[in-house]
Amino acid sequence: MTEETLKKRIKELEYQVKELSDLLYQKELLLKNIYSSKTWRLGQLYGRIFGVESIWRKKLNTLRQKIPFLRTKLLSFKTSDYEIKVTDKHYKVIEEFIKELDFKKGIIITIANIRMTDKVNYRSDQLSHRAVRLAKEFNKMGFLIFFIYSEDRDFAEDESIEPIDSNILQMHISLYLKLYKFIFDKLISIHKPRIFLIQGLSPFLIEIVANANAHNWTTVYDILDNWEEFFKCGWHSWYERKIEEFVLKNSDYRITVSNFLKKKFVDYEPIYIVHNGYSCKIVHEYTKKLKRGKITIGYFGNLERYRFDWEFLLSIAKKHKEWLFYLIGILPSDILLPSNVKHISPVKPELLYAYAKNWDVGIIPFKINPLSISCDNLKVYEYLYFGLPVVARGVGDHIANYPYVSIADTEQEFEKQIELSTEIKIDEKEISDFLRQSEWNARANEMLKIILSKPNTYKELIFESSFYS
Amino acid sequence: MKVLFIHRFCGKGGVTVGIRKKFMGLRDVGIKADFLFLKDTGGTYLFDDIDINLYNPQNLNEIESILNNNHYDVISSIDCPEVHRILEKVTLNVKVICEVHTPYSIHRSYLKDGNLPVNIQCIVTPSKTFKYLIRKELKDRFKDIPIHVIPNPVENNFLKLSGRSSYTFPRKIIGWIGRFDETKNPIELFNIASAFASRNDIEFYIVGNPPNDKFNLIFSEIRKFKGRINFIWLPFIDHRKIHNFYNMLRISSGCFLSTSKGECFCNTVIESMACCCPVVASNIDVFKEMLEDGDCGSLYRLGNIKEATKTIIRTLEDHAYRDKIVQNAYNKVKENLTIAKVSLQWKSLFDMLLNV
Repeated sequence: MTEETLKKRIKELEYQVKELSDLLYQKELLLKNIYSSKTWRLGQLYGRIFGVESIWRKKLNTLRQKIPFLRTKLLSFKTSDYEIKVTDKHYKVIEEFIKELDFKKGIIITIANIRMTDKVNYRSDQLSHRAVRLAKEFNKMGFLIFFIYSEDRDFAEDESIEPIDSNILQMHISLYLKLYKFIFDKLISIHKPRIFLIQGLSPFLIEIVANANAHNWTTVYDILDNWEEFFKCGWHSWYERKIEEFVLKNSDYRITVSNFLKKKFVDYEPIYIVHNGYSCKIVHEYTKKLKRGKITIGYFGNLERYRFDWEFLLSIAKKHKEWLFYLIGILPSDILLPSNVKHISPVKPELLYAYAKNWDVGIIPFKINPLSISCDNLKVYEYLYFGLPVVARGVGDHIANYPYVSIADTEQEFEKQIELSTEIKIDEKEISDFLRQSEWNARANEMLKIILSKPNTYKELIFESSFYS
Repeated sequence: MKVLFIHRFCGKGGVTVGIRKKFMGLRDVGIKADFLFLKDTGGTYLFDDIDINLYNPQNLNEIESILNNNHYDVISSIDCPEVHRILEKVTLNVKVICEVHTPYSIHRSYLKDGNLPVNIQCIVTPSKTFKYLIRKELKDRFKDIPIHVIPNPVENNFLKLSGRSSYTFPRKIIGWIGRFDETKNPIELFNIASAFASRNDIEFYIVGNPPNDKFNLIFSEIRKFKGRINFIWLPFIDHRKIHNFYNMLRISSGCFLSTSKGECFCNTVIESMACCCPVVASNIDVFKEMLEDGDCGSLYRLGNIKEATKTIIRTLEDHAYRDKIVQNAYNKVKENLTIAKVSLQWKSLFDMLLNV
């Protein structure tokens, strides 16, 4: 194919993507209108009675599946001639930043699907995101951090390079793509740990990971989530199974959060497990007074249908009108809540305790599917930190070993465990002992121990020297 | 005696590494050599440890003045027809030769076009197979130019069998090195790797980069790869460490694979041979000459994936056969292809040209 034909093809694909995006937007608007109509609500009731599923949602998902395919197709043409303008300023900022390494323990480049800080928009998920938390802990330990974010917009032409403080530098992956060779070359003779930590995927990673390996960086793939299942639900358009497999195979170390993900990628063993952690700085003394039920039950987090089992929860709520449920998060527009289920819009993490103080038990009523059981839910640690017993469903099997956590797959069992949880006397010492080893700094140490424990055989052999010696 | 080598690029590829090896050998036989290149493509570091003059002229006048000021005895243009008109201007006592190394026919079109310096003394190429090919490609008026075969040597550190053999690799490693282009045939490599995807005891290490950093090929190969990804891709390995790569293949009881469709002489193959790493290669003429199928390496029919996998399995699992080809290959390199031996061939050629 000539360059001209390729350019033509790119234009055609760009047009198709735009067209599909517009179509998606229109359909979403249409859905929004439908969801807010009385007819729809009546239809929902009808659907619940007769088990009819939403045809529109299915169509929307099919459409969503097509967009990432076209985007990645486009990306494959565009990856190497991405139009980001690299200026002297970028090089200067990096050179100044790297100078700090003389006083540091080592350097870590983190690739994440989220920004560490966003000056424009406040996002609550940033504060507790594993990639962000670990980067901060590594930084506290004395590592210099390049925080490379891709979010869900690989086409963004973001040229900003942002020192978050003197030891963390944040930039978009499209800019990093232009600068990574410069950074690798600058650091080629550094005899300190150089860790390339992948915590989010992108097609660009094929090139970057391969170059990190060729420059004798220790590459680590930290599998935070079941990206593939998210993709199937219409999220994370950047996902491609083969790219994930490439990253798995080409990383020196593979780390994940749950047994399910470890088993999923059994072909790429060894895979180590380092669970998620919690931060003890999320408590606020303020108390939000809430109405109590015979048992007051709380939940915060994702309320989307692909994970949260609404039918399951609402069925329990209907049976136990004397119980009061509080759900904090973004409520899907098609959900009708009974009077004993109260919705609260998202609150900042440091204010969660103000609400949780009113609860008797924290719940996780998730669907039992590959997506939910792959996760290591942060909220378990947070519930425990708030002194709440936990009743959960559709979570990783390791959670059953945590103190004051009961797993209940059926409605009857879930109800029973909620009732039993009110009789539990919480031993605060037991919880604090457990949580101490689950703090983010403990997790960061656990991860470093794995990464620095033994050299990677092929690199030690090819490159002769490594930072371990 | 003073010699100047001229090439289009100073990169990290075979030609530049070959020039480095020539310097080292010629220095030992009392010949001083310089290197002039038209474009720096990142290979000047290869000469950091050698006392030589590197020239990167910005225009033709500058080239002319370099030639006039340095009083070379021999000037060798290595696939660099851009300078041939200038070479015609040098004095009669300067002997001009042309080296043909490129396996890319488009880069050899200057032979077909008759674009050689009129004062050319001879052509030098590294294999007999290539000599016949060049002879066919030469324009009638240059048909009678003598063509000499002087192979590329291997550096001595390849023959030392270094690398800690105490390592135990969980899998046998099959190594491949080359540019991701049509000639080096990486698509065949990925097809062969895919045929081994179900075997957990074998993995591939692929070293090479696409031309101009266009990664589309590797993206698409990864996307359509059938089975578990069983390869590690390293875009490059510093030439000073590359012997460690072959040693790794040997220690893991693996082999080196070349899927090439065309070579003038394959440095990676002789380097593998020197490191006692068995070689499996496509049955192109150059490999037939170098490996003598079943004697110093194994050949498979180019394009035949089944035969390639069968040949690889035999090389990995038939220990007696493996030991035999490895030993023969090592002896062949040690006897014929050391820098010392090859530089003597260069010296005799220069002596002959200069009637010393």
